[in-house]
Amino acid sequence: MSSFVSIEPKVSLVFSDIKVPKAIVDSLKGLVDEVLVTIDSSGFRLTALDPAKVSMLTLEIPSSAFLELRVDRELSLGISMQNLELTLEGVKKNERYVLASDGEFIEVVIEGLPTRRFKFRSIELPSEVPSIDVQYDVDAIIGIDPFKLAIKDIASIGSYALLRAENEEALEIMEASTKRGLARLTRASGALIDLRVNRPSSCSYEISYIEKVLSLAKLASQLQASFSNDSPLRLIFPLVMGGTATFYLAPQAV
Amino acid sequence: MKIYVEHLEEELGRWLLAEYRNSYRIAGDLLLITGAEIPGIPSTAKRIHEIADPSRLVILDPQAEEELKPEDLLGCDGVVIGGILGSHPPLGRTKKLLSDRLPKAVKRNIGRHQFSIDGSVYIALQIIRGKRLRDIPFTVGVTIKRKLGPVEHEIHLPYAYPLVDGRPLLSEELIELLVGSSNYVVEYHI
Repeated sequence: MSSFVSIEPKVSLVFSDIKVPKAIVDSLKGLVDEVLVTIDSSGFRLTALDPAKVSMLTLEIPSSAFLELRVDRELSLGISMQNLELTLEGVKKNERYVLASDGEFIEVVIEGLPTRRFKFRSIELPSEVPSIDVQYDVDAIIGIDPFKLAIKDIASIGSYALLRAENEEALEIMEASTKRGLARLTRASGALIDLRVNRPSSCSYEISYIEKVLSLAKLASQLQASFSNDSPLRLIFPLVMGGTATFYLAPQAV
Repeated sequence: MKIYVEHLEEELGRWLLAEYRNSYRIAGDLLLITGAEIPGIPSTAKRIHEIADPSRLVILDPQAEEELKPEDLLGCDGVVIGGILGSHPPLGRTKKLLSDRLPKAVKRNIGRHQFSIDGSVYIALQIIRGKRLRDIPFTVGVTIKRKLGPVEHEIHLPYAYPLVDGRPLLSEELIELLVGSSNYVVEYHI
């Protein structure tokens, strides 16, 4: 643990790479006001729900993915996004990100030149996480880059993306109202790794949320996209270092 | 007599520039930055060995065995300081990038600690003026503290800084770069 931590922590952890907290915060910046973080001996869990309750991100990173993880007792911490963003201002790639808490205060130490320490209070947040129980009719495993490219193209022409799978040949992504900007992800193109379709489905989602969460793509090599007619979108990012990030987004009628 | 700062970093970042500018404030026209031309500061793109006879120079190197004394400077043309943003722990780059390349130059230390560039310039100037190293107070490690709304923010600088009028020699420009114009407190040990 960092010698710069001034509290007597009950939990402390050191991320293996500063790009991990940076990608997490980038994916939530502007979407949520606070995050709930639980740290126990098995690892780190983060839940974030936007104020409009349109989207939710849950992230689980096992203890083995950290350079260090020490737990005297399990803690659940409410962290203001504004404070988290502050800790990551101007970080450099070879710096170490240390997070520690005694339950009342949270300290973040960025070990580098110079070393910076941030101390703030944990905030009260409901620890109940909404459960989303949906049977998905479409499950696709997609390469990150083709998906990112498709979303970027659609974002340049509209606000909503329509995801459609009629059969197990292709996953189609297009601008929802005009049907322009069609990206057809197929196995032959290498963009689609796997596709299971129980029932032909299509659904529209607000693209700005998807664009944001794609900051997590830096930590993953592929993603699983699941949807049904009039159902939330679920994007699962299996993280290269271990663990997963799961993002839910409410459907939009267009 | 000159105080040379041989620029040895690949980039000329804002931190380094703040230290070079403060070095000029401290030493005035005694200062010459070599290896980089910087508007507003006496400087040249030429390297130190191109403009001075290395055998008439004293390099300040933390790894040198002997301490710098005023009498070391008799008959010499200048003191050379490495224009390096230090690492923590130190990597010995002054030796590698400066001392080893100028074998004929005399090497002296100003203590075992890693001083800032402008701090080194200040110490060199005091010794040129006849002061002994032991009479120049300094502190190792400085913490700049401020409040950002509900957040306590601290920046820890692990380097050594000479104390001038009882305060560590840190330029306003560097502090502005690190903490902006917000209220701050500088903590250090004497």
